[in-house]
Amino acid sequence: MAQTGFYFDSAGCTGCKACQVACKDKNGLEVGVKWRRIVEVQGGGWSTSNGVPVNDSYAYHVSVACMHCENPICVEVCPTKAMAKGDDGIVAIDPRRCIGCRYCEWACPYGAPQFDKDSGTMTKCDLCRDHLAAGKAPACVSACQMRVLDYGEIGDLTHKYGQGADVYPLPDPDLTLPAVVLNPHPAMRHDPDARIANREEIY
Amino acid sequence: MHSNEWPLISFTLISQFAVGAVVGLTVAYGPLHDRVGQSEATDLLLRSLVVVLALLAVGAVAATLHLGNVRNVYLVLSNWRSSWLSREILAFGAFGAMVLLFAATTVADGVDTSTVVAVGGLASVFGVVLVAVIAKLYMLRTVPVWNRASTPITFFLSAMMLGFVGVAAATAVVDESATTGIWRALGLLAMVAAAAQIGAFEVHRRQLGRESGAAQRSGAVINESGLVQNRAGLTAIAILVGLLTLWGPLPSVLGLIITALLLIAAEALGRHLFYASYAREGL
Repeated sequence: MAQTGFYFDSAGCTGCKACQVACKDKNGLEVGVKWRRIVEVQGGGWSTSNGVPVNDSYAYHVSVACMHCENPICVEVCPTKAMAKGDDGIVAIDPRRCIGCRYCEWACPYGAPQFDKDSGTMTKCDLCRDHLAAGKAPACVSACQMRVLDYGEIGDLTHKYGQGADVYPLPDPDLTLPAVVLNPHPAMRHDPDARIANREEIY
Repeated sequence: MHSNEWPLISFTLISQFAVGAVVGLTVAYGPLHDRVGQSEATDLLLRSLVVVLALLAVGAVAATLHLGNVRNVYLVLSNWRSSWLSREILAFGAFGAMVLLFAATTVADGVDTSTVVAVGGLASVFGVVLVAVIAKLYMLRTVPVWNRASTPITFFLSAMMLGFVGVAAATAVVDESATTGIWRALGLLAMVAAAAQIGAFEVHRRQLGRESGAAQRSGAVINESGLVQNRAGLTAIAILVGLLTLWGPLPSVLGLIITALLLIAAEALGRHLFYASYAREGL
Protein backbone atom coordinates (compact mmCIF):
# COMPACT_ATOMS: atom_id res chain seq x y z
CA MET A 1 0.00 0.00 0.00
CA ALA A 2 1.22 3.49 -0.82
CA GLN A 3 1.56 5.97 2.00
CA THR A 4 1.07 9.62 1.17
CA GLY A 5 2.20 12.18 3.73
CA PHE A 6 3.46 15.66 4.46
CA TYR A 7 6.92 17.14 4.86
CA PHE A 8 7.42 20.18 7.08
CA ASP A 9 10.58 22.21 7.60
CA SER A 10 10.29 23.92 10.97
CA ALA A 11 13.66 25.63 10.52
CA GLY A 12 12.28 27.73 7.68
CA CYS A 13 8.74 28.36 8.93
CA THR A 14 7.93 31.96 9.85
CA GLY A 15 4.55 31.12 11.37
CA CYS A 16 2.65 33.26 8.86
CA LYS A 17 -0.29 30.82 8.94
CA ALA A 18 -0.95 31.05 5.21
CA CYS A 19 -1.27 27.25 5.20
CA GLN A 20 -3.88 27.35 7.96
CA VAL A 21 -5.88 30.04 6.18
CA ALA A 22 -5.63 28.32 2.79
CA CYS A 23 -6.93 25.09 4.32
CA LYS A 24 -9.86 26.86 5.96
CA ASP A 25 -10.63 28.73 2.76
CA LYS A 26 -10.46 25.71 0.48
CA ASN A 27 -12.58 23.54 2.75
CA GLY A 28 -15.00 26.22 3.97
CA LEU A 29 -14.29 25.50 7.63
CA GLU A 30 -16.28 27.35 10.26
CA VAL A 31 -14.69 29.41 13.04
CA GLY A 32 -12.90 27.15 15.52
CA VAL A 33 -12.37 24.26 13.11
CA LYS A 34 -8.78 24.10 11.88
CA TRP A 35 -7.59 21.06 9.99
CA ARG A 36 -4.13 22.61 9.86
CA ARG A 37 -2.81 24.63 12.78
CA ILE A 38 0.37 26.50 13.53
CA VAL A 39 1.69 25.74 16.99
CA GLU A 40 3.91 28.46 18.42
CA VAL A 41 6.49 27.08 20.83
CA GLN A 42 8.50 29.25 23.19
CA GLY A 43 11.16 28.54 25.81
CA GLY A 44 14.37 29.65 27.41
CA GLY A 45 14.95 33.16 28.76
CA TRP A 46 17.46 35.48 30.30
CA SER A 47 19.88 34.35 33.00
CA THR A 48 23.29 35.44 34.29
CA SER A 49 26.54 33.55 34.16
CA ASN A 50 29.42 35.04 36.21
CA GLY A 51 27.51 38.31 36.22
CA VAL A 52 27.14 38.31 32.46
CA PRO A 53 23.59 38.33 31.07
CA VAL A 54 22.93 35.29 28.88
CA ASN A 55 19.96 34.97 26.54
CA ASP A 56 18.89 31.50 25.45
CA SER A 57 15.26 32.32 24.65
CA TYR A 58 13.90 30.67 21.55
CA ALA A 59 10.74 30.27 19.53
CA TYR A 60 9.73 28.09 16.63
CA HIS A 61 6.62 27.03 14.77
CA VAL A 62 5.19 23.64 13.95
CA SER A 63 2.55 23.33 11.24
CA VAL A 64 0.32 20.39 12.19
CA ALA A 65 -2.43 18.67 10.22
CA CYS A 66 -3.55 15.06 10.14
CA MET A 67 -0.47 12.87 9.99
CA HIS A 68 -2.28 10.09 8.06
CA CYS A 69 -0.63 7.68 10.48
CA GLU A 70 0.44 4.20 9.51
CA ASN A 71 -1.24 2.98 12.69
CA PRO A 72 -4.12 5.47 12.97
CA ILE A 73 -5.80 5.30 16.35
CA CYS A 74 -8.82 7.21 15.00
CA VAL A 75 -9.54 4.35 12.57
CA GLU A 76 -9.00 1.82 15.35
CA VAL A 77 -11.50 3.41 17.77
CA CYS A 78 -14.21 4.60 15.34
CA PRO A 79 -17.27 2.43 16.08
CA THR A 80 -18.95 2.88 12.69
CA LYS A 81 -15.95 2.56 10.35
CA ALA A 82 -16.60 6.15 9.28
CA MET A 83 -12.87 6.75 9.65
CA ALA A 84 -10.88 4.72 7.16
CA LYS A 85 -7.41 4.53 5.68
CA GLY A 86 -7.41 4.39 1.90
CA ASP A 87 -5.11 2.54 -0.47
CA ASP A 88 -3.17 5.79 -0.86
CA GLY A 89 -2.54 5.80 2.90
CA ILE A 90 -4.76 8.84 3.42
CA VAL A 91 -6.97 8.69 6.49
CA ALA A 92 -10.36 10.21 5.70
CA ILE A 93 -13.81 10.31 7.23
CA ASP A 94 -17.09 9.39 5.59
CA PRO A 95 -19.66 11.77 7.13
CA ARG A 96 -22.45 9.47 5.93
CA ARG A 97 -21.30 6.90 8.52
CA CYS A 98 -20.21 9.23 11.35
CA ILE A 99 -22.35 9.43 14.52
CA GLY A 100 -20.42 12.34 16.04
CA CYS A 101 -19.43 10.40 19.17
CA ARG A 102 -16.07 12.25 19.17
CA TYR A 103 -14.17 9.15 20.29
CA CYS A 104 -11.61 9.79 17.53
CA GLU A 105 -11.15 13.33 18.87
CA TRP A 106 -10.34 11.92 22.31
CA ALA A 107 -7.89 9.43 20.89
CA CYS A 108 -5.92 11.35 18.24
CA PRO A 109 -2.72 12.79 19.74
CA TYR A 110 -2.55 15.40 16.92
CA GLY A 111 -6.08 16.75 17.41
CA ALA A 112 -6.77 16.06 13.74
CA PRO A 113 -10.44 15.00 13.80
CA GLN A 114 -12.56 18.05 14.60
CA PHE A 115 -16.25 18.33 15.31
CA ASP A 116 -18.55 20.24 12.97
CA LYS A 117 -21.49 21.57 14.95
CA ASP A 118 -23.70 22.08 11.92
CA SER A 119 -23.55 18.51 10.64
CA GLY A 120 -22.95 16.88 14.04
CA THR A 121 -20.14 14.84 12.53
CA MET A 122 -16.37 14.82 12.66
CA THR A 123 -14.29 16.45 9.94
CA LYS A 124 -10.60 16.26 9.09
CA CYS A 125 -7.85 16.82 6.56
CA ASP A 126 -7.96 14.41 3.61
CA LEU A 127 -4.73 15.76 2.13
CA CYS A 128 -6.87 17.52 -0.53
CA ARG A 129 -7.62 14.29 -2.33
CA ASP A 130 -9.49 16.23 -5.01
CA HIS A 131 -6.41 18.33 -5.69
CA LEU A 132 -4.19 15.25 -5.79
CA ALA A 133 -6.55 13.60 -8.28
CA ALA A 134 -6.28 16.69 -10.48
CA GLY A 135 -2.50 16.62 -10.25
CA LYS A 136 -2.36 19.66 -7.98
CA ALA A 137 -0.74 20.12 -4.59
CA PRO A 138 -2.79 20.31 -1.37
CA ALA A 139 -4.02 23.84 -0.61
CA CYS A 140 -1.71 24.27 2.38
CA VAL A 141 1.37 23.25 0.38
CA SER A 142 0.46 25.61 -2.49
CA ALA A 143 -0.07 28.50 -0.09
CA CYS A 144 3.20 28.19 1.79
CA GLN A 145 5.26 31.21 0.77
CA MET A 146 8.40 29.89 2.47
CA ARG A 147 8.10 26.53 0.68
CA VAL A 148 8.53 24.66 3.96
CA LEU A 149 5.59 22.32 3.27
CA ASP A 150 5.69 19.49 0.80
CA TYR A 151 3.75 16.29 0.17
CA GLY A 152 4.22 13.01 -1.58
CA GLU A 153 4.83 9.33 -1.12
CA ILE A 154 6.44 9.00 2.29
CA GLY A 155 9.33 6.91 0.94
CA ASP A 156 10.15 9.66 -1.56
CA LEU A 157 9.89 12.34 1.14
CA THR A 158 12.19 10.38 3.44
CA HIS A 159 14.66 9.90 0.59
CA LYS A 160 14.56 13.61 -0.22
CA TYR A 161 14.49 15.15 3.25
CA GLY A 162 15.55 12.50 5.77
CA GLN A 163 13.50 11.32 8.73
CA GLY A 164 12.08 12.75 11.92
CA ALA A 165 8.85 13.48 13.76
CA ASP A 166 9.87 13.35 17.42
CA VAL A 167 9.86 17.00 18.48
CA TYR A 168 7.96 19.00 21.06
CA PRO A 169 4.98 19.41 21.11
CA LEU A 170 4.29 16.38 18.93
CA PRO A 171 3.67 13.08 20.73
CA ASP A 172 5.92 10.04 20.70
CA PRO A 173 5.70 8.85 17.06
CA ASP A 174 5.60 5.24 18.22
CA LEU A 175 2.01 5.83 19.44
CA THR A 176 0.55 6.01 15.92
CA LEU A 177 3.47 5.97 13.43
CA PRO A 178 2.72 9.32 11.73
CA ALA A 179 3.37 9.59 7.99
CA VAL A 180 5.34 12.81 8.23
CA VAL A 181 8.88 13.97 7.65
CA LEU A 182 9.92 16.91 9.76
CA ASN A 183 13.06 18.95 9.55
CA PRO A 184 13.60 20.22 13.10
CA HIS A 185 14.22 23.84 14.02
CA PRO A 186 17.72 24.32 15.49
CA ALA A 187 16.12 25.36 18.78
CA MET A 188 14.17 22.12 19.14
CA ARG A 189 15.45 20.16 22.06
CA HIS A 190 14.11 18.25 25.04
CA ASP A 191 13.41 21.28 27.20
CA PRO A 192 10.93 20.59 30.02
CA ASP A 193 10.13 24.32 30.16
CA ALA A 194 9.16 24.61 26.49
CA ARG A 195 5.56 25.71 26.18
CA ILE A 196 2.87 26.26 23.59
CA ALA A 197 2.37 30.02 23.40
CA ASN A 198 -0.90 30.04 21.43
CA ARG A 199 -2.80 27.32 23.28
CA GLU A 200 -6.06 29.32 23.16
CA GLU A 201 -5.77 29.64 19.41
CA ILE A 202 -5.13 26.02 18.52
CA TYR A 203 -7.61 24.32 20.86
CA MET B 1 -18.32 21.01 32.76
CA HIS B 2 -18.40 20.30 29.06
CA SER B 3 -22.00 20.00 27.91
CA ASN B 4 -21.48 16.54 26.42
CA GLU B 5 -20.30 14.97 29.69
CA TRP B 6 -23.66 14.57 31.43
CA PRO B 7 -24.90 11.86 29.06
CA LEU B 8 -21.67 9.93 29.57
CA ILE B 9 -21.72 10.38 33.35
CA SER B 10 -25.33 9.16 33.40
CA PHE B 11 -24.68 6.22 31.10
CA THR B 12 -21.60 4.94 32.91
CA LEU B 13 -23.02 5.37 36.42
CA ILE B 14 -26.36 3.79 35.50
CA SER B 15 -24.63 0.85 33.80
CA GLN B 16 -22.35 0.30 36.78
CA PHE B 17 -25.22 0.64 39.25
CA ALA B 18 -27.20 -1.92 37.23
CA VAL B 19 -24.33 -4.40 37.23
CA GLY B 20 -23.79 -4.04 40.97
CA ALA B 21 -27.53 -4.40 41.57
CA VAL B 22 -27.79 -7.59 39.51
CA VAL B 23 -24.82 -9.11 41.35
CA GLY B 24 -26.32 -8.02 44.69
CA LEU B 25 -29.78 -9.38 43.84
CA THR B 26 -28.30 -12.69 42.74
CA VAL B 27 -26.35 -13.01 45.98
CA ALA B 28 -29.30 -11.87 48.11
CA TYR B 29 -32.00 -13.97 46.48
CA GLY B 30 -31.11 -17.32 48.05
CA PRO B 31 -30.82 -16.12 51.68
CA LEU B 32 -33.84 -13.86 51.24
CA HIS B 33 -35.86 -16.77 49.89
CA ASP B 34 -35.04 -18.76 53.04
CA ARG B 35 -35.83 -15.86 55.38
CA VAL B 36 -39.03 -14.33 53.99
CA GLY B 37 -40.40 -17.04 51.75
CA GLN B 38 -40.55 -17.54 48.00
CA SER B 39 -43.46 -15.26 47.26
CA GLU B 40 -42.02 -12.17 48.89
CA ALA B 41 -38.46 -12.81 47.73
CA THR B 42 -39.56 -13.38 44.14
CA ASP B 43 -41.78 -10.31 44.20
CA LEU B 44 -38.89 -8.17 45.44
CA LEU B 45 -36.50 -9.62 42.87
CA LEU B 46 -38.92 -8.97 40.02
CA ARG B 47 -39.68 -5.40 41.10
CA SER B 48 -35.98 -4.68 41.50
CA LEU B 49 -35.13 -6.11 38.07
CA VAL B 50 -37.88 -4.01 36.48
CA VAL B 51 -36.27 -0.94 38.05
CA VAL B 52 -32.86 -2.06 36.75
CA LEU B 53 -34.27 -2.57 33.24
CA ALA B 54 -35.95 0.84 33.33
CA LEU B 55 -32.68 2.44 34.40
CA LEU B 56 -30.80 0.62 31.62
CA ALA B 57 -33.32 2.06 29.15
CA VAL B 58 -32.70 5.54 30.58
CA GLY B 59 -28.95 4.93 30.31
CA ALA B 60 -29.28 3.87 26.68
CA VAL B 61 -31.23 7.02 25.85
CA ALA B 62 -28.74 9.16 27.81
CA ALA B 63 -25.86 7.64 25.84
CA THR B 64 -27.35 8.82 22.57
CA LEU B 65 -27.57 12.41 23.83
CA HIS B 66 -23.84 12.95 23.45
CA LEU B 67 -23.93 11.95 19.79
CA GLY B 68 -23.85 14.64 17.14
CA ASN B 69 -25.66 12.56 14.54
CA VAL B 70 -28.05 9.94 15.93
CA ARG B 71 -29.32 8.96 12.46
CA ASN B 72 -26.28 6.76 11.87
CA VAL B 73 -26.42 5.06 15.26
CA TYR B 74 -27.46 1.77 13.65
CA LEU B 75 -23.87 1.50 12.36
CA VAL B 76 -22.38 1.53 15.84
CA LEU B 77 -21.50 -2.17 15.94
CA SER B 78 -19.69 -2.09 12.57
CA ASN B 79 -16.19 -1.95 14.01
CA TRP B 80 -16.52 -4.46 16.85
CA ARG B 81 -13.27 -6.06 15.74
CA SER B 82 -11.19 -3.09 16.93
CA SER B 83 -13.38 -0.41 18.54
CA TRP B 84 -14.09 -0.69 22.25
CA LEU B 85 -17.04 1.63 21.75
CA SER B 86 -18.67 -0.92 19.44
CA ARG B 87 -17.86 -3.62 21.99
CA GLU B 88 -19.34 -1.51 24.78
CA ILE B 89 -22.67 -1.25 22.97
CA LEU B 90 -22.54 -4.98 22.27
CA ALA B 91 -21.80 -5.77 25.93
CA PHE B 92 -24.49 -3.34 27.09
CA GLY B 93 -27.10 -5.00 24.86
CA ALA B 94 -26.04 -8.49 25.95
CA PHE B 95 -26.22 -7.52 29.62
CA GLY B 96 -29.67 -5.94 29.12
CA ALA B 97 -30.88 -9.13 27.43
CA MET B 98 -29.53 -11.24 30.30
CA VAL B 99 -31.30 -9.02 32.87
CA LEU B 100 -34.50 -9.45 30.89
CA LEU B 101 -33.98 -13.24 30.94
CA PHE B 102 -33.27 -13.05 34.68
CA ALA B 103 -36.56 -11.21 35.22
CA ALA B 104 -38.44 -13.65 32.99
CA THR B 105 -37.02 -16.61 34.92
CA THR B 106 -38.35 -15.26 38.21
CA VAL B 107 -41.94 -15.32 36.93
CA ALA B 108 -41.74 -18.51 34.88
CA ASP B 109 -43.70 -21.46 36.18
CA GLY B 110 -41.85 -24.41 37.66
CA VAL B 111 -38.48 -22.72 37.96
CA ASP B 112 -36.69 -23.49 41.20
CA THR B 113 -34.53 -21.17 43.27
CA SER B 114 -31.23 -22.60 42.09
CA THR B 115 -32.16 -21.99 38.43
CA VAL B 116 -33.07 -18.37 39.20
CA VAL B 117 -29.74 -17.91 40.98
CA ALA B 118 -27.89 -19.59 38.09
CA VAL B 119 -29.46 -17.24 35.53
CA GLY B 120 -28.70 -14.33 37.85
CA GLY B 121 -25.11 -15.54 38.06
CA LEU B 122 -24.87 -15.64 34.29
CA ALA B 123 -26.32 -12.11 34.06
CA SER B 124 -23.74 -11.05 36.67
CA VAL B 125 -20.92 -12.43 34.53
CA PHE B 126 -22.22 -10.44 31.55
CA GLY B 127 -22.38 -7.41 33.85
CA VAL B 128 -18.78 -7.82 34.97
CA VAL B 129 -17.77 -8.06 31.31
CA LEU B 130 -19.73 -4.85 30.61
CA VAL B 131 -17.91 -2.91 33.35
CA ALA B 132 -14.57 -4.22 32.09
CA VAL B 133 -15.40 -3.22 28.51
CA ILE B 134 -16.51 0.27 29.59
CA ALA B 135 -13.19 0.67 31.41
CA LYS B 136 -11.22 -0.60 28.43
CA LEU B 137 -12.97 1.93 26.19
CA TYR B 138 -11.34 4.73 28.17
CA MET B 139 -7.92 3.13 28.39
CA LEU B 140 -6.62 4.82 25.26
CA ARG B 141 -2.87 4.61 24.79
CA THR B 142 -2.82 8.33 23.99
CA VAL B 143 -4.61 9.38 27.22
CA PRO B 144 -2.33 8.54 30.15
CA VAL B 145 -4.74 9.65 32.89
CA TRP B 146 -7.22 6.99 31.79
CA ASN B 147 -4.80 4.36 30.53
CA ARG B 148 -4.03 2.87 33.94
CA ALA B 149 -5.38 0.38 36.46
CA SER B 150 -7.28 3.06 38.37
CA THR B 151 -9.89 3.19 35.58
CA PRO B 152 -11.22 -0.38 35.93
CA ILE B 153 -10.68 -0.30 39.70
CA THR B 154 -12.83 2.80 40.18
CA PHE B 155 -15.48 1.55 37.74
CA PHE B 156 -15.81 -1.78 39.56
CA LEU B 157 -15.90 -0.03 42.94
CA SER B 158 -18.65 2.27 41.61
CA ALA B 159 -20.65 -0.78 40.53
CA MET B 160 -20.19 -2.42 43.90
CA MET B 161 -21.04 0.58 46.07
CA LEU B 162 -24.01 1.85 44.07
CA GLY B 163 -25.51 -1.53 43.23
CA PHE B 164 -25.06 -3.07 46.66
CA VAL B 165 -26.42 -0.10 48.59
CA GLY B 166 -29.43 -0.05 46.24
CA VAL B 167 -30.13 -3.74 46.77
CA ALA B 168 -29.56 -3.35 50.52
CA ALA B 169 -32.25 -0.66 50.64
CA ALA B 170 -34.62 -2.83 48.60
CA THR B 171 -34.12 -5.98 50.69
CA ALA B 172 -34.45 -4.01 53.91
CA VAL B 173 -38.04 -3.24 52.88
CA VAL B 174 -39.02 -6.90 53.31
CA ASP B 175 -36.42 -7.99 55.87
CA GLU B 176 -36.04 -4.88 58.00
CA SER B 177 -36.64 -6.40 61.40
CA ALA B 178 -33.96 -9.04 61.12
CA THR B 179 -30.78 -8.19 62.96
CA THR B 180 -28.71 -10.28 60.61
CA GLY B 181 -30.51 -9.51 57.37
CA ILE B 182 -28.73 -9.81 54.05
CA TRP B 183 -29.09 -6.05 53.68
CA ARG B 184 -26.53 -5.58 56.43
CA ALA B 185 -23.89 -7.56 54.58
CA LEU B 186 -24.60 -5.78 51.30
CA GLY B 187 -24.67 -2.40 53.02
CA LEU B 188 -21.36 -3.09 54.71
CA LEU B 189 -19.77 -4.16 51.42
CA ALA B 190 -21.05 -0.94 49.83
CA MET B 191 -19.43 1.11 52.64
CA VAL B 192 -16.15 -0.76 52.17
CA ALA B 193 -16.29 -0.09 48.42
CA ALA B 194 -17.01 3.60 49.04
CA ALA B 195 -14.02 3.93 51.36
CA ALA B 196 -11.83 2.01 48.89
CA GLN B 197 -12.98 4.33 46.11
CA ILE B 198 -11.72 7.40 47.96
CA GLY B 199 -8.45 5.63 48.77
CA ALA B 200 -7.97 4.51 45.16
CA PHE B 201 -8.64 8.01 43.86
CA GLU B 202 -6.12 9.50 46.27
CA VAL B 203 -3.45 7.04 45.09
CA HIS B 204 -4.36 7.92 41.49
CA ARG B 205 -4.12 11.67 42.21
CA ARG B 206 -0.70 11.33 43.83
CA GLN B 207 0.60 9.20 40.97
CA LEU B 208 -0.40 11.88 38.49
CA GLY B 209 1.47 14.47 40.52
CA ARG B 210 4.69 12.50 40.12
CA GLU B 211 4.40 12.20 36.33
CA SER B 212 5.03 14.61 33.49
CA GLY B 213 3.36 15.71 30.26
CA ALA B 214 -0.32 14.96 29.75
CA ALA B 215 -0.60 13.06 33.06
CA GLN B 216 0.75 16.06 34.94
CA ARG B 217 -1.79 18.33 33.21
CA SER B 218 -4.56 15.94 34.24
CA GLY B 219 -3.34 15.98 37.84
CA ALA B 220 -3.31 19.78 37.84
CA VAL B 221 -6.94 19.89 36.65
CA ILE B 222 -7.97 17.54 39.47
CA ASN B 223 -6.06 19.47 42.12
CA GLU B 224 -7.35 22.85 40.97
CA SER B 225 -10.99 21.77 40.66
CA GLY B 226 -11.67 21.79 44.41
CA LEU B 227 -14.05 18.87 43.92
CA VAL B 228 -11.78 16.23 45.43
CA GLN B 229 -12.58 17.39 48.95
CA ASN B 230 -16.30 17.75 48.18
CA ARG B 231 -16.43 14.23 46.86
CA ALA B 232 -14.50 12.81 49.79
CA GLY B 233 -16.74 14.75 52.20
CA LEU B 234 -19.92 13.44 50.61
CA THR B 235 -18.58 9.90 50.69
CA ALA B 236 -17.54 10.24 54.33
CA ILE B 237 -21.02 11.47 55.28
CA ALA B 238 -22.54 8.61 53.28
CA ILE B 239 -20.38 6.08 55.11
CA LEU B 240 -21.30 7.65 58.45
CA VAL B 241 -25.01 7.53 57.66
CA GLY B 242 -24.56 4.00 56.38
CA LEU B 243 -22.83 2.84 59.55
CA LEU B 244 -25.47 4.53 61.72
CA THR B 245 -28.04 2.62 59.71
CA LEU B 246 -26.26 -0.70 59.94
CA TRP B 247 -25.48 -0.53 63.64
CA GLY B 248 -27.14 2.60 64.91
CA PRO B 249 -30.50 4.23 65.46
CA LEU B 250 -31.42 5.13 61.88
CA PRO B 251 -34.26 3.17 60.26
CA SER B 252 -32.78 0.83 57.68
CA VAL B 253 -34.74 1.71 54.53
CA LEU B 254 -34.58 5.48 55.04
CA GLY B 255 -30.95 5.37 56.14
CA LEU B 256 -29.90 3.27 53.16
CA ILE B 257 -31.79 5.49 50.72
CA ILE B 258 -30.04 8.57 52.14
CA THR B 259 -26.73 6.72 51.92
CA ALA B 260 -27.45 5.74 48.33
CA LEU B 261 -28.32 9.32 47.34
CA LEU B 262 -25.14 10.66 48.96
CA LEU B 263 -23.05 8.02 47.21
CA ILE B 264 -24.68 8.79 43.86
CA ALA B 265 -23.88 12.49 44.32
CA ALA B 266 -20.29 11.66 45.30
CA GLU B 267 -19.85 9.35 42.33
CA ALA B 268 -21.31 11.95 39.95
CA LEU B 269 -18.62 14.37 41.18
CA GLY B 270 -15.99 11.67 40.83
CA ARG B 271 -17.09 10.84 37.30
CA HIS B 272 -17.08 14.54 36.42
CA LEU B 273 -13.48 14.71 37.63
CA PHE B 274 -12.72 11.64 35.53
CA TYR B 275 -13.86 13.40 32.35
CA ALA B 276 -12.55 16.83 33.34
CA SER B 277 -9.06 15.41 33.88
CA TYR B 278 -8.86 14.21 30.27
CA ALA B 279 -5.62 15.27 28.60
CA ARG B 280 -4.04 13.44 25.72
CA GLU B 281 -0.44 13.08 24.66
CA GLY B 282 0.69 15.58 22.05
CA LEU B 283 -1.66 18.32 20.94
